[in-house]
Amino acid sequence: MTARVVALVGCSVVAAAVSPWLGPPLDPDTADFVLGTLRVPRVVLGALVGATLGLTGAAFQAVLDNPLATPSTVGTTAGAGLGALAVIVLLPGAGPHAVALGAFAGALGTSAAVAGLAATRRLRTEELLLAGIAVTLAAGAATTGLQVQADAAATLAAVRWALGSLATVGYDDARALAPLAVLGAIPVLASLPALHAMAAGPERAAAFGVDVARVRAQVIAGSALGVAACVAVAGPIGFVGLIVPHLVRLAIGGGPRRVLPASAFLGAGFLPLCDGLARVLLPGRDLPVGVLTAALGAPTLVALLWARSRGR
Amino acid sequence: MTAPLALDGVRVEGRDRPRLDGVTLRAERGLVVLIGPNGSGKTTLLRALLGLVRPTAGAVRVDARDPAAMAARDRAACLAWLPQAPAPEDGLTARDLVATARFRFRERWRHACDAADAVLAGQGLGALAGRAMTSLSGGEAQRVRLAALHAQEAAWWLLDEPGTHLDPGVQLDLLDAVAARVRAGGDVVLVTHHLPSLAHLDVDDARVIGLDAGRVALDAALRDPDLPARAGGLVGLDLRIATLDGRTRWVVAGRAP
Repeated sequence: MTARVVALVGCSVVAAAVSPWLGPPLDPDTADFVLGTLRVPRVVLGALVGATLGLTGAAFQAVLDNPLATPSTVGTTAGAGLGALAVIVLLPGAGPHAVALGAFAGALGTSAAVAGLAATRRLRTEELLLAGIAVTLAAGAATTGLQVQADAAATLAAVRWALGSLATVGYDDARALAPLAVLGAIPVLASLPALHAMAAGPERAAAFGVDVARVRAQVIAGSALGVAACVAVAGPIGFVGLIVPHLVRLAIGGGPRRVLPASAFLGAGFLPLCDGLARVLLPGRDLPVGVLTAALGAPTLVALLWARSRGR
Repeated sequence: MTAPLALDGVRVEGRDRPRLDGVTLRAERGLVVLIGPNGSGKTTLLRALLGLVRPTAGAVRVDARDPAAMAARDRAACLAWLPQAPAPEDGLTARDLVATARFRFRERWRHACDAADAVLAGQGLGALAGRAMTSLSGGEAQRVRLAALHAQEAAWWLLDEPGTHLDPGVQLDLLDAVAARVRAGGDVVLVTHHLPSLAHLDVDDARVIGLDAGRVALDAALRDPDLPARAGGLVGLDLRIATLDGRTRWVVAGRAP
């Protein structure tokens, strides 16, 4: 079992390490610039975003005791998208920093609402997911409303942003994201023992001595901070938070103590690899990475589930 | 309210009728058996003791404190719980479950795992330590859950129908484990609706409390010779005492007349 953990971490490191070199052959004159200023920073950013999305996806699944819970299903991502779009459409000409701030405010706002609901502890997790879906739908409706009002250029910018992208120049984005990602990860990782206990069910965890309402609020708040920062720099990148923890669980198994850190590692390898493959598939077109995460992740997940169901 | 477990006029609302309707009782240390028909409030009473449901009236006290107001770790030092239908412990090994039952100790995980291994070995379950909980048979999983109760080192065990869905032999093993715990000075609240098995409890004496429609309908000593008839009446059975090979057994003769 330890061998599998080592193998998974090793694969993730290799995936991240080779991804700068994926893509059309480089012109010797510009190779240094492309690698050093564009691709390596892009991999660093992708690894940070992937690790955060993997970790928070696994954390949401553990803390809400539901395999469908991720930042995208409880409304965090939708809130971020609405916030960013509001800035793009209502403040035409606003710079990328204003868009990022809008995404950040939107994600934190929806997450605060969801965390507040969870902290009351009277709510079952299905009801919390339902609330998240309602928030997502409402944010989607508001998003459409904004798009209809906006002019064509703003709409195009908004649509482009909503696809998600790891495009970056230099390390500014990564430098902005890293402290927020770490700050968000701390309360999540500090809750690992409690999350492990909650694998036996929230009420039993409470009987083991876990303050379930506090752990929920703490983990959701930390995750929201990380996800909001990710969405702010890279737009909403779907599927990673949902798929990576399930891939980890199917590949190496185990409880939250192992699944959460392993999901961070796998996410850090998976996302840059998808981004690199996008360059190979459609050179020069900047295919949104979310297309690749879904196209690669979904069949892998189905194949693993298929293999496991046949093993039963 | 000086008894270790005390309920005073406890009322818990249900959907269309109260689940507990003014329950008052005091329990000293030792074994307390809760019996009664389905829906009589046995599980709700345990959940009220654990602070998982809050009474709309009355007061619950465990060692003179309100469990719903206690810090989670303090409550875990008082009360360990085996729920009626435990959620599947997905992703956890037997060692994980037993070690995580020691959450309240704030110890290193490695230390908790060592303690879990020692408890599992002491219960003759050492071979299961690395197995996934979801891969164990019902009887094995329930034994591991009992080991988790040991590992939590709480004053009271609250057991909710621990024998349901298990082979008859495993059910008797569980009763033996409960009796051994009580003889060793531990305190147990045992919820069961399998009345004949109570005659197998190898303890000097115990308190038997019968609930019916959320009220206390019976309060007697386990060795009270009238108990089988009264307990049987509570659930609609003609329950009698028989002596087999010199041992007292409870036998279901049929429905209550």
